[in-house]
Amino acid sequence: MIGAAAASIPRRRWPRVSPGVLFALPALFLVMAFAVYPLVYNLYVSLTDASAFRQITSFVGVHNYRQLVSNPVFWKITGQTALWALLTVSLQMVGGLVAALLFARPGLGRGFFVGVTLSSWATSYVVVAILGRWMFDSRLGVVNDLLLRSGAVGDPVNWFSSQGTAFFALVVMNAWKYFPFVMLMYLAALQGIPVELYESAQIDGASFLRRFTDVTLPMLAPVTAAAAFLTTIWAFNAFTIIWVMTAGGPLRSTETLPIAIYRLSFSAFNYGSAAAASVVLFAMVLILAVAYFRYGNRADV
Amino acid sequence: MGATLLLVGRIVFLIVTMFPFIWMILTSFKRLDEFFTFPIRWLPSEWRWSNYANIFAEPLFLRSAMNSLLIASTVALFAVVVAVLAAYGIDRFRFRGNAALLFTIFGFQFFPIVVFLIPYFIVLTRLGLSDSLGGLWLAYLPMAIPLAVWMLRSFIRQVSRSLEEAALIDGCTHLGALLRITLPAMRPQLIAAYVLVFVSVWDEYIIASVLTTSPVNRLLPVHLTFYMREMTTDWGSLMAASVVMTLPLIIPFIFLARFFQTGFSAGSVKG
Repeated sequence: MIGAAAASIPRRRWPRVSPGVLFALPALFLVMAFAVYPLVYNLYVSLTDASAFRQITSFVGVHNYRQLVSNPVFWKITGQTALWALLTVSLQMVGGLVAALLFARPGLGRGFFVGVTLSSWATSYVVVAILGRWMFDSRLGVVNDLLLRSGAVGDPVNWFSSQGTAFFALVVMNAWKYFPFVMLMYLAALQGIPVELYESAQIDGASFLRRFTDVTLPMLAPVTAAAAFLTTIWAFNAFTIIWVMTAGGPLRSTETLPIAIYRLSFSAFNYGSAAAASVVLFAMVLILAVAYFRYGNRADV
Repeated sequence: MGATLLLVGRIVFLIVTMFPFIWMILTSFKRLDEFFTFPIRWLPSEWRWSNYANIFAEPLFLRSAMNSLLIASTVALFAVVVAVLAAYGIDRFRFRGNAALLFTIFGFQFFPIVVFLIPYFIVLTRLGLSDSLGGLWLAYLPMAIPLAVWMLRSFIRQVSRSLEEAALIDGCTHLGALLRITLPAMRPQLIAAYVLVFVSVWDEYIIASVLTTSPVNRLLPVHLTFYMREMTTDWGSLMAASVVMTLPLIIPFIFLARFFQTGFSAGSVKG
């Protein structure tokens, strides 16, 4: 008995810190140092009437949030943010899937094609936005030139003068930048589908189309969820492409939440309201991020 | 037959998706008056390097390019070093709070940067680093590290543990095993992660534009927007500068494509 008790005494009295934690410590410290203060700061400022035009800042409780929620412009911009995310994510997913299916089979210069396709991903956001402005220019743009030559339109389209066409230009350029990322995820997933599944489907007499809808698509479901969550989060956060291409115009019709927050901080200098809007955007993204880790990370990228 | 069709499909797809890129290069060789002719001409009447000569004669362009190169290369190096340790710690050890740790480090890259601008400005001002390259350098770390951890974790997971375990039995420390066994087995992957982080910093616009004000501290993306003014846009310089900013990155991307892909496939079996 005594011997057994002695053996069960743990060799260390203090809970041992796993070397894993020690390895992660520098990264954790640096990220936390830069994350915690801004988050707490934003939360605090959102409860005050801080502004560049006010000497003394006072605590106003949830006043900023109440104003935000009762402001129809806030809801309009939130709606636009969701619409922008929906459109650009859809296009990225379709583009990425088509590319992955085209490049999945080895041979025929596959490596070259995949590599070159990545170049739009390597292109800077500012450059993508500038290219968008140049290509969709109403007079000198190549998009109008193509449309006019092919007879698709009779008169040049003024892309940046209405919400629908301006969103179209933004969505296309943003999807152009990010579809290679979706393609990479799909390519990885396609290679993970066991060949036996196709073979047995073929033995069962499944047509090419049936094999695609009954084998390929279901096997791609987890990676589709992961890619959709990630690109939705990025779309909610997107700033540069919209700022440089349309600056939210015409008449704030392509403005999304990050642009609105930027304007509140750096044009209106209304820090309290900007911080409140930041907290709301932050909460939305946090919900998406938690959902990604819970449901989207099955594919584990 | 099927192979030919597939090849044609690949070529057509590539031409369509590369079109903006081709257009940028074509435009960069045009002369000023060719930008404004209507209907537009697709090819430059003569291939001229004058737009490139103009930007390279501009001290501010060179300065911002050097700033960007300096910041992106050093931030990426530091981030990869810190992230290798973190990725190794998170992947190779099971401990309580493992998932929470991962979420905290990963989570940061999901946060909208616009939320952090004013707090960053305040912190950097207090540190005496406002409007400086050093301040920018610090501000990019929390963005670069999570990205590097994300990529490197899936790379480290692909490296077999058996050699590491043998080294540990022989009395090697964990750090020694990482440095002598694991890292040498993943050199191309380290380069892939470095390039990815480099690009994300090289790419960044909003932090650079808000946290610096003096022209000498500008980064390249901010400098580009200065070619666009209220009434006129200097399309020639813009397109030439865009090509210069993008082309050098595409070459490593093409060569590293294979590794980016395995970076995203590593966890098809969740561990």
